[in-house]
Amino acid sequence: MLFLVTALDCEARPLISHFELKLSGSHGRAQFFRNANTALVITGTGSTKSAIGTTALGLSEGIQAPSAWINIGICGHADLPVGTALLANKISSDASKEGFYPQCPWDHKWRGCALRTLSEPSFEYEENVAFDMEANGYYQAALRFASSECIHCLKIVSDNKEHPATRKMDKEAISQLVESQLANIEKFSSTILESVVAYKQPPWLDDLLRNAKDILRLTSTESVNLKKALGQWERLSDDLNELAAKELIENQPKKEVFRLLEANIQKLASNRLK
Amino acid sequence: MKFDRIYVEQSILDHPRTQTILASNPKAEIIHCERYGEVFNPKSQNFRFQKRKPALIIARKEGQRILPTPPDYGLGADMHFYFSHMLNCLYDCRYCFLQGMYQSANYVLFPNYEDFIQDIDATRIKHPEKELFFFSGYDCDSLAMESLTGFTDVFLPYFEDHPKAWLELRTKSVNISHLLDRSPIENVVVAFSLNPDSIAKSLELKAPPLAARLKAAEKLAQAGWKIGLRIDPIVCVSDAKEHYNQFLDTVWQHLPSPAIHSATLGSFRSPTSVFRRMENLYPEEPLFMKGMKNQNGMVAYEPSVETDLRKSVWDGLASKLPESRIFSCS
Repeated sequence: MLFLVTALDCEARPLISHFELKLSGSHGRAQFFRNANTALVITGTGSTKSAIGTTALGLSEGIQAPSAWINIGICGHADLPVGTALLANKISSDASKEGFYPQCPWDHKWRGCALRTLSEPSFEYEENVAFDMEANGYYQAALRFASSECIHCLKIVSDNKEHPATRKMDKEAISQLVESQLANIEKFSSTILESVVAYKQPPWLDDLLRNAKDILRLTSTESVNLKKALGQWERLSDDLNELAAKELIENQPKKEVFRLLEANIQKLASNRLK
Repeated sequence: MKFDRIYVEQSILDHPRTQTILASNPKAEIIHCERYGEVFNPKSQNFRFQKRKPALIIARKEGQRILPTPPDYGLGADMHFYFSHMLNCLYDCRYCFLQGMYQSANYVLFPNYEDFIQDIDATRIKHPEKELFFFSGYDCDSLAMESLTGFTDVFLPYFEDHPKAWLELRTKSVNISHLLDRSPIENVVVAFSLNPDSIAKSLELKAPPLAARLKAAEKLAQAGWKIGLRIDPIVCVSDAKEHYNQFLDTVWQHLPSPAIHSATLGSFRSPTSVFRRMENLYPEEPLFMKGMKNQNGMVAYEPSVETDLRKSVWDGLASKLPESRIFSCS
């Protein structure tokens, strides 16, 4: 699942259109949009709002694997040209000493840059760092739902010393800046989602475990052990299906179920380890 | 070696080795940090993902740089120590504890070698009558990244000048040209981690094949270097005894007994928490499912699975080497 986080409606519009997202709900002022594979939240401006919106989106969708999270928005930079897209490699803020380092073992086309999140808009620039107002809150919130390699901030320079920010934003220009990166965003997110290895348990496993808990009168520890053993069996076996697992569990006493499972796992693991 | 990203601690930025590495990576993003732990230690990282393309972290090694080995790890010297000029490894061995111990697969390089040497020297001076053994390559491969680290350029001359202190270079690398280019040193052992070819292929990912490692060891032996055989861990595969017998036959074809300084035999063992992290990273890995037992906070092979194999490999080693040169690590 791809999760996109923007502060502004004008940042979100090109993404909503490109990924064909539909309004799917809200949390306070944060608005959610989604399709089958992509979810987006418009959080409002500021680190706190971004953290709230990101958390709300994550909680509404649940932890998903694989997942990629990208905060997309505009930033200021002292000397990089307007339109330059930057992938944050360090995120700090003026409100906290703690810094974050998004890890990126994926190929991408963007320039890396340190990013500092400010609590208030600023019209002053520093060398070698971009400024935004959301990344710090977003990043900390997203860490609840994915690992660092899957959480990124893409910021597009909208102002610099030569073209300083103005109090009134040109929404159309901002949409165009985001639009210019759509192809790269799609490629980058696909790279992450295709590369992240996520073990998916078979859809029947949870039902089977629920039944097993009743039939075999499992303790909590035994339930955990049975889930682990069935998972191992399933990963080692090319042809384990619901029927075979059901037969094993429903027709044997508890002790025998665990013995047979262990024997199967040992045999299959031995066959694989040659 | 080229990197897309290099993190540099502010305190080591001006070090000449740091500057050399940065100069040889002109396209890398340079990211400054106060302490490497800010990058390396956060929990929400995935070792498996990072292993695809690790970044380099250059940091100053502070605190205790030279540590005593656990009591069961030794090669018969009076005292044994280890040190790590790097954390993490070029290779991706599925049994390796590093993947369960560290949150990050990024390489950490501590280029302040002069501080390591100072501490080794202090240890040596503190125990003037003792024979001391220093192991490198505990948290990394000693030679695999030599072109980046220049590790041996600094450490070999020191040990050459101090013959009562021994150095082990533990490696799976065939990157030995810098050793062949110089005279062998009496008190330096180049110790190759080895396992049967089939195990190397399936579990020692990205490492050179067994044949290449043996060839490298043979060349070094011919040049007069002392060679160590490190069979650690023994892996209990199907028909393991046969695999290990054939493997030892191959070893003896390349390395005559006099060239071998020592052999060690180690068991797979891991603190439970480290093992759980390894399992979670690679839930499909049969190695973690076969014959393992969790006891007293450690995961290891059940004795019924390993004892026979271990004895068989020990006997195989003892058929060519005096037992005084074979050591057990468990």
